[in-house]
Amino acid sequence: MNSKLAPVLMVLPIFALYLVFVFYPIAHAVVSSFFSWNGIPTSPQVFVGLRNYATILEDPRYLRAFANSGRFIAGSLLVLLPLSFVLALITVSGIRGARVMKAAYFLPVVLSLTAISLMWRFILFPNGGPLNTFLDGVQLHHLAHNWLGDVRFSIWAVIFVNMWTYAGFNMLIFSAGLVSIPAEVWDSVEIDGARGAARFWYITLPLMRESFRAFIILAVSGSLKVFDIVFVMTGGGPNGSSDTPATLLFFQAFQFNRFGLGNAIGTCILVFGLLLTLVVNGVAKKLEE
Amino acid sequence: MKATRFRTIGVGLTVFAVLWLLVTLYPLFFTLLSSFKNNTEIFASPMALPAPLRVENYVRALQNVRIARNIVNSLFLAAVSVVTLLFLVSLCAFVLARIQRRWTSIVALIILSGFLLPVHSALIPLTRLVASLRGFNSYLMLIVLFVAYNAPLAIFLVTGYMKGIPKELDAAAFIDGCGYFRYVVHVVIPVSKPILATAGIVAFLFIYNDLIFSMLFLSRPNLYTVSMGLNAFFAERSVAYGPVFASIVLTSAPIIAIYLLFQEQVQRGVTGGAVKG
Repeated sequence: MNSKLAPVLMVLPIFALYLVFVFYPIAHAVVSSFFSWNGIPTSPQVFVGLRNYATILEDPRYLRAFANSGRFIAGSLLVLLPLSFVLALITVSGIRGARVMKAAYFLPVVLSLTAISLMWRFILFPNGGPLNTFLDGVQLHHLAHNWLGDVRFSIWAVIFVNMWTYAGFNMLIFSAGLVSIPAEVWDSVEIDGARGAARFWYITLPLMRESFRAFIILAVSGSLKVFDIVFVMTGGGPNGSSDTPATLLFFQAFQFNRFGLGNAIGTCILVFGLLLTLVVNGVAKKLEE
Repeated sequence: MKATRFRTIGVGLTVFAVLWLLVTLYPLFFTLLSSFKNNTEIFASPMALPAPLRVENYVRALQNVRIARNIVNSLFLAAVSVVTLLFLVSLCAFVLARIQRRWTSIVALIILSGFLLPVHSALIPLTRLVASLRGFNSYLMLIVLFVAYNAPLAIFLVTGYMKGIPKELDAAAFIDGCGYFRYVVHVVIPVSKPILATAGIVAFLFIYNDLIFSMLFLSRPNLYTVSMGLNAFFAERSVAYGPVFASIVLTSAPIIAIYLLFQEQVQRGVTGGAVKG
């Protein structure tokens, strides 16, 4: 076989599939976001410039969806980060049962998000669901809310389920960082006499920089893309209180046939994701200096 | 070598470890228990062991709601997609790992940028594309999509691994007059089995659990995948929850089995090779 041609032919199939079905649609979405179209092939696509984006910026529904992504990010940084980090510490230590715990903590990651959402939807039933039944049982009636049906709580319930699912995943990111700290570091620290907390803050954390960076990038880009859990648990409701950009895109495009708008939302997701990734990388570089 | 850093972690952390273990496992445990109960029992005593064991929930799930068919569909789609994916990716990954030319760097960059691209941004044009290809209700179409969208991670994992294959192996083969393609198929792929297993298992999980592509491109119920079956089930049978839980148990069984058997591979693959041990 011609050795100049062979490499090209070997790369071609998967690359072609990727270009046609991943790259091209996204590029097309960005371009189409400047048009207005109702999805019927024979209808014209009208160029409307930035009108779709203006709609997004003005209508509170869309702003709320992006604000919900912000809430996801906040939840990730404030709760999920320490949680996964602690789990990493636990599973990296040599205590008995650490391996079993590691396997258990990671288990939700492999389950279908649909199954997870259905399980939690039931647990969170306002009347008769195990959570509220438990709260009633321990005399905490006033804490038993309509978790998914109350506009104040719906998004946070979804955020919690998301954290429950991915705690184990992020635990692995941090444990990879912890394990990569060479033993010599710990030995020299013992010699210098640094103890407990000081050792943690001044030695461990700085050496984990890469792990934190990986976590933040994944958490931020993941927060923009949340779909399955929201879709199955609340459908974005009630009243769009738990909508995320991805569910909004789905409903606007496939229920209301506003495809230009849907593409605009999709482009926003893409652009925000890229921007935030660049920002995080930039901040990380600055901190290193 | 991994040294045991903290032999004990203090009472506080130990308590928390157990606590989170309970939080993690409770929903699964609850689902399993409830799958054997009827509605009254589920609501009245959520934590009690089922008595009697209402296996008819499972029978109902299997018979009435096509859950068995959904599981078979998902397993089939995942298996075929993974095999196709691994073969095509192996060919490409070898070239990217070995040949350092301008165009290979560009190809690698474009493919790996796929990590940053959100699926949902592509959905609308993708739907039009599928429509123009008459791809609705076509498993061939779905397989193509699954292969395309799982390509970035797989190529990342496999290319990284193949870079570690000793070049002496290449030299020996080419002296014998073996062409690129035959070399990859007969030597490189067998040597890469570990990473192919890892990448394959991870892709299998993603495809089996897929919701969005199945939902958008399948409208005939007997083609439905696991996620759609569960979704529809919950919507229509809002009265009898026992069979719903039974369905969840049944559909999760294959992936839990795969996970328990291949824990290390799964953990390594899902985090992009970041985890060691």
